[in-house]
Amino acid sequence: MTTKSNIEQLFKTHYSRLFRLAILILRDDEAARDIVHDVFAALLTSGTGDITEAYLTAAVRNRCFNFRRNLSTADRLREMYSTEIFETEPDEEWPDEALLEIVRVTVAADLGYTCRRVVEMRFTLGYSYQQIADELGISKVAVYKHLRHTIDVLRKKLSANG
Amino acid sequence: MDNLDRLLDAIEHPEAYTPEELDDILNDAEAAEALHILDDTKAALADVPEPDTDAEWAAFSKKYTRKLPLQRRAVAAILIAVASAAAVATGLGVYRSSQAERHDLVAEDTAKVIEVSATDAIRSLPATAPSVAIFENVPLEDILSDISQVYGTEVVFKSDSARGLRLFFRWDTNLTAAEVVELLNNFEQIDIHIEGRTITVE
Repeated sequence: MTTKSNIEQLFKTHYSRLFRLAILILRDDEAARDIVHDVFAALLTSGTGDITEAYLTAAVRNRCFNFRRNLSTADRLREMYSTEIFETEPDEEWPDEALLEIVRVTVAADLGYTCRRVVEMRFTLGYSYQQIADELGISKVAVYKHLRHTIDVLRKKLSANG
Repeated sequence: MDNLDRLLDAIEHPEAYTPEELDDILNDAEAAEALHILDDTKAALADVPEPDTDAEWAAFSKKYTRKLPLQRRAVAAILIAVASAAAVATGLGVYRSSQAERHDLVAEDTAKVIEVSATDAIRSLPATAPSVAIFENVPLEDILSDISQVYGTEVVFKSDSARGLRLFFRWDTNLTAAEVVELLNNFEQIDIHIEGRTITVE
């Protein structure tokens, strides 16, 4: 029988983990929050009898995938959502945490100081190219060069790690 | 500007490109791969805030407790007034909760509640809107009483044990009575069916 306490227990057990998953995929706090809430809201009619951690994870992952897929190309680019990940539905290992760790380690250890600062400002702080250029006292062309270098380093590192 | 530079530029200013130009950029294998790497990089370096789970539960709980819209509540109140006399006349074993015992069933929006007494004439109502009502830990007999007042059904309990079963139930008032009964039948401890305008709980 579905009770409020069943849903509350599931919510409080899994919310933080599911929210983190949605953030990794979407990098949008509001969208991530809405999707996780929607997954729990769906339990209000379907019930909580067969709900497992794997079920909730897949539900969040699938909704995030559909969210990305339903955006225009322009919006997907703006958010840097790759446009050719999966055909119909995402892998159950998406995003690949091991791969993300390789990226973090590579950014921390294999990029020069300025290059690393460019990457941190763009991807963590969300600065525009011009803001990065102004902050670091370099040209916008130089920002592009650092980003291209980063892509090159990561491509080689990720290829080497399979 | 090669495709990689165009990709980096399009990420910052997608509005500066037509959809065809964007597709053109992404059809380049090197640019598509670069975007994939950028996607992973952004995920890897994303700032993931630690949520306040208790606050999120409070917000979720509040969001999904709905009130019946004004018009449905008016219909329910009117049907109570009309059906009360009918229940006595037919002699059916019908259980009803009195209006004084109303509880967790609340209205969807915060519009003013209209008081309808047994002597009020049935008025024309504003156009209906979709609505969801959430019963939180409410006895089955009260849920069925409220539902019956909207659908014009009557309820027969064949056992007293079922009356007091407390449920957390989401009622989409756009469903038919038969559909609602089917949903309630999904609860393991409830055996319920509808025939004509009579809902029977075993």
